[in-house]
Amino acid sequence: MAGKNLNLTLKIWRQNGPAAKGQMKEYKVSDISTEMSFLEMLDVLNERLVREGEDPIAFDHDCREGICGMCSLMINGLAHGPSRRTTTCQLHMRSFNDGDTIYIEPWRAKAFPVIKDLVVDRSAFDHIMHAGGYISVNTGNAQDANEMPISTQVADHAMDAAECIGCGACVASCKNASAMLFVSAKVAHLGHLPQGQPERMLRVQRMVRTMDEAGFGNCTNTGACEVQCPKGISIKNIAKMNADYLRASLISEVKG
Amino acid sequence: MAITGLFLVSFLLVHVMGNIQLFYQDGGLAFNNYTKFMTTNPIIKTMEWVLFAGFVVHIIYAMLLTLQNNASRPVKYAYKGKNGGASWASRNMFITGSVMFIFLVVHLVMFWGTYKFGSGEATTIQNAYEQAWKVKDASGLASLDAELAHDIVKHKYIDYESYQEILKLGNPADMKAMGYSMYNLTLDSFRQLWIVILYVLAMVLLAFHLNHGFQSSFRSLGFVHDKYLPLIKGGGQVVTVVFPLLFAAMPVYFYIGSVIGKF
Ligand code: HEM
Ligand code: FES
Repeated sequence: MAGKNLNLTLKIWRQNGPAAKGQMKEYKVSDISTEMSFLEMLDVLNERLVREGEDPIAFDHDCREGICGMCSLMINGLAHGPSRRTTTCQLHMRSFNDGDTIYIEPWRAKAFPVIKDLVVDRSAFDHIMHAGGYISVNTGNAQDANEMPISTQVADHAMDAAECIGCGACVASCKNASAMLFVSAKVAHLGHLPQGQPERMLRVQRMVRTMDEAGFGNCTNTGACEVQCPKGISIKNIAKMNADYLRASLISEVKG
Repeated sequence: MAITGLFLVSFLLVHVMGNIQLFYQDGGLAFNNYTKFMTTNPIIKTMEWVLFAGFVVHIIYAMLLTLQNNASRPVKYAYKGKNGGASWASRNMFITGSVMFIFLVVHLVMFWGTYKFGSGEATTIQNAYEQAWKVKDASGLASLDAELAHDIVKHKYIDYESYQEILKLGNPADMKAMGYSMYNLTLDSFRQLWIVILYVLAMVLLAFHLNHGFQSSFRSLGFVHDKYLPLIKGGGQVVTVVFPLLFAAMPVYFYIGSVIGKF
């Protein structure tokens, strides 16, 4: 299948450093193959910028196969662009038309400050994970694999939540810049499994507190996060986390 | 937020059930009896304060929430017009709530305020009652001045049953509280087109507010399960459509009635 070539106008956020003042800058690109991925299109532009002696555009990426959660970008107002359940690295230029103007912006949130251009600091997510996104196990011999039976249904629910790649699209899409979908996916993932039970109450309290301290907004259940999540994490996880949090606050003896 | 929101929804239920009596074709008898009960029953009087507190807490939380949430994205996106799939209702809870607040002030001044603090009219009414009382004292019901009787019973202020009770009462000050016809006040208010428009507009916004708010509050409280989620969603749709529709029907009914000369 032969692709077409596109001529596009890009409006890209340029910002020299965390404290610098940024602005949207316009770039024209031509002869962009529809077979290219979105990030390849940016690579092409960057090569040209280097040749012309301009600072290339900084953007995050790593695996480029939709599993690491490193790529980001608000593309025409949508996290990871117009394709549902697709990360920016998996987005292809065939989603665009010749002559389109494309706005490319970094994730916007107080808790995700811009480092440079389109790269934001997502270490707030790491801090939330450090606060409770794990289970404590003693080292020693590996347990027998069948010692702890887990039904397929439960395993499926846990797996659905565990699909979250921590990219931050939920925060970027939420009108309140709330991180509830991310945090609830992590809480639900471990909360479904027997291994997650001992620290369940502690986990939810600590992770929520760290989330609030990082300056994310409050969830008002608008549901944009679920629609924009490249992994289709369900907002049911949020309600489940609310239930855990209420239980932890009201009747749990364990203080987070 | 969720608790106060649901509490306010429970208030709507009571309010709509009471006010539906406005539609009875009994010249306001049932409705006036209901308002009398609502304004004299000690439990209801206490609940009035709880309701007031519910509104205050809801609005204070709404303001805090909105301020915090606006602050969590200091730099906005340059590309406007996409909302990531969130409904209009869910994105504009503060707007719909604020217009409802304006409505609420007008509504309260109009009904609760008139009832509680009276107006020029109310004073006249009290005079009328006092006279009625004197008349009764002197020579009984029969000799009541025809015009005054008409004023009291028929004109605006009082339904027949209340009038009967007033005559049994001893103290003119109580009489005012007993006899003010909320039915007639309602009738009078809804003759004015701007009021009718304001009411209908507020109810449309209420529908949007509830459309998001009802199911949202259950989510915030942690209720989510495939078993009862359809119930919450369905219940939300019923609440969203039925409450605002019934409320909005009241001013429209009385306005049309006054235009075609029914009232
Ligand atoms: C009078 C002024 C009012 C204001 C300013 C207001 C504002 C708000 C705001 C900002 C929210 C939260 C935003 C969100 O969840 O997206 C909210 C939620 C809600 N409001 Fe109101 N509101 C008002 C009146 C009412 C009334 C009269 C009712 C119902 C009878 C009501 C019911 C609810 C419900 C059920 C919620 C959902 C709570 C949740 O999401 O957890 N509100 N309101
Ligand atoms: S670069 Fe790894 S998910 Fe996109």
